[in-house]
Amino acid sequence: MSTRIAAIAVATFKEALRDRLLVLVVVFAVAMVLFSRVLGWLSVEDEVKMVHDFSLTGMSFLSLFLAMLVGASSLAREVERRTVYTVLTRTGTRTEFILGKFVGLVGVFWLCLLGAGLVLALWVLTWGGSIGEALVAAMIGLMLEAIVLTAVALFLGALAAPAIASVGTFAFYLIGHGTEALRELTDQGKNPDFAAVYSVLYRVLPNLENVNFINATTSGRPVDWGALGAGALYVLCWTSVLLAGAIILFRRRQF
Amino acid sequence: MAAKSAASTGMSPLPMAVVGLGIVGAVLLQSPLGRSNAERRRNDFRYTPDPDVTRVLSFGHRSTLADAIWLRALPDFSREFDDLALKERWLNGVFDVVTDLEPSFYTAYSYGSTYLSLINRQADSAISLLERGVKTFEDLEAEDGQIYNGGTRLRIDLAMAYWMYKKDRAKTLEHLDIAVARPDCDFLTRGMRVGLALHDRDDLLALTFSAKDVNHQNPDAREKARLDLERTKLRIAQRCHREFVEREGRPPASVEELRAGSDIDEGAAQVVFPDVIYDDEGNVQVPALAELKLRETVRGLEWAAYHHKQNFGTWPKVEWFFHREKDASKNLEQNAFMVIRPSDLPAGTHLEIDDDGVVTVVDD
Repeated sequence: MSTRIAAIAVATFKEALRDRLLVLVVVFAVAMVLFSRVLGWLSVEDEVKMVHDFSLTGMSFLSLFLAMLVGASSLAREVERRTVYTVLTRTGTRTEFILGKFVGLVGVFWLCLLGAGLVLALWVLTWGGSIGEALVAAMIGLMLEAIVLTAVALFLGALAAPAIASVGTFAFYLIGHGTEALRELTDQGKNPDFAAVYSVLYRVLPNLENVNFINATTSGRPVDWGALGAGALYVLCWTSVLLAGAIILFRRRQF
Repeated sequence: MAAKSAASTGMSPLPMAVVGLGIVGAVLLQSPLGRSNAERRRNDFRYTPDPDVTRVLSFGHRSTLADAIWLRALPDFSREFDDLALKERWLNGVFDVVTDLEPSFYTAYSYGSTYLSLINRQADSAISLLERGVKTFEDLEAEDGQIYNGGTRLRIDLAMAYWMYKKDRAKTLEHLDIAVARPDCDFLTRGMRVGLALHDRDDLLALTFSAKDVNHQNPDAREKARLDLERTKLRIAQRCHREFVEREGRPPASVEELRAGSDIDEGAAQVVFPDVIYDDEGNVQVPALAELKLRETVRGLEWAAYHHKQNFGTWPKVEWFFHREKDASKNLEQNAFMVIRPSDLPAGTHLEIDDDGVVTVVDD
């Protein structure tokens, strides 16, 4: 089974690498990393801080756009090109197909993130900054975020048309990054009724802030590796749910 | 023929003329429209979002959004406002939202308070912003158990703001005492605290602050602390000498007489007077000071040489240390770091710099 998943993953990886959208998105991310220095020049001080902040945010958008543009349409494209029939009529099962697609897409997204991260590291070193553990933690957080976004894109791709899956992935990203701030807002007690409802919603809604360590990169605060580890487990939980959902939906699908 | 040629290339004259006229029209209109835009911006309403809402709308990228709002606000700082009350509200709104999104954004507190106090003449707002920054860093330090340099620098800025704009000596001392007790306090600030202690005739406190880093693990910091300590001893001795002359109408015959006739704390006297002498011209001197000053000069020159190497790829020639361009803009490209005069060196000596950038003072 693992051999068949690996074969599908490799095929997905190679196919995604040939996608022009991927090149476009990666160029955007690298351009954002390089352009961040210009923003640093506009600032009073904090040149390296600007490079860190805007580059890491750019890389977070890179994950999002990859999931929206490449991940969400991945299943539909296989159906459209009829390559899915070739795989499924041979020895592969639908579960293996989804898992293989997931592994392949995560591999490509990680490769893009690592490439952009390498450019960022060189860029930071060029301008007199240093690569600290906070930057490493932020990168790991972004890679974990890419996992869950890929799972969301596949789940929604199995459920609906690519355009709707893209929009849904985008909505998941916004909700995931807004959950924590909304909790802070409701904690202030300005609206007790909503606070009571939200205290329940808070536990149910996805929370990508659990793996967002970008804000800590420039503040100089120590990295809470335990929190990052717990965040990784949290990502694992959501990914398991979403992949299981994608598999169930894909099994029921009539071609 | 020409029409046929244009048609064959797909470029008929009319659309080309429309494109050309459009471009020329846009270019000609840009200047008056730009002036109109500037005039409109001068009086327009500047919106800064509520910090709570901004936090939610940052979608996790708080630090980046704080940077973006900060960068957007910077050009407006220097723009004229007809309504100064509006500008004040806008400025406070910007500082609120930026520091709320990123509480450890040191520059927003520091630059913001400098702008508010020096340019906008709002000392109270500046002090309030600095106090908020100091409190934030205090909380961060309590939470993380580590020292943040931003906290020290803001504490110093706050002390200076009380000193310059409020003439509040008690508040200045309160914040300076906390700042100088921190391990990352700079020597300039410590020097100010020493100066205030000497002014209050609290010589023992001045000596204690000066001597704080004489056993520091960094040799440069040790040297600097020793230099400050010897300087403080000299200042105390000079004050005692001046008071002796005013009281007795003559200079003391010896250091022992100076000590006996000085109104000074005994503990401070035990530290100061053993290291004091009178030179041939009857001036009070601390002999160790000259050597320490020279070593500090050499350290400064090596630092300047390092920057020369960074900027130009080579170590400077010795003449560069004595060179200062009259034109300030050229000076930045030349030696803006450390310039000395030949008289700064002991008589009969000159400078040498080796291939590793090490500067030495050698006999002629």
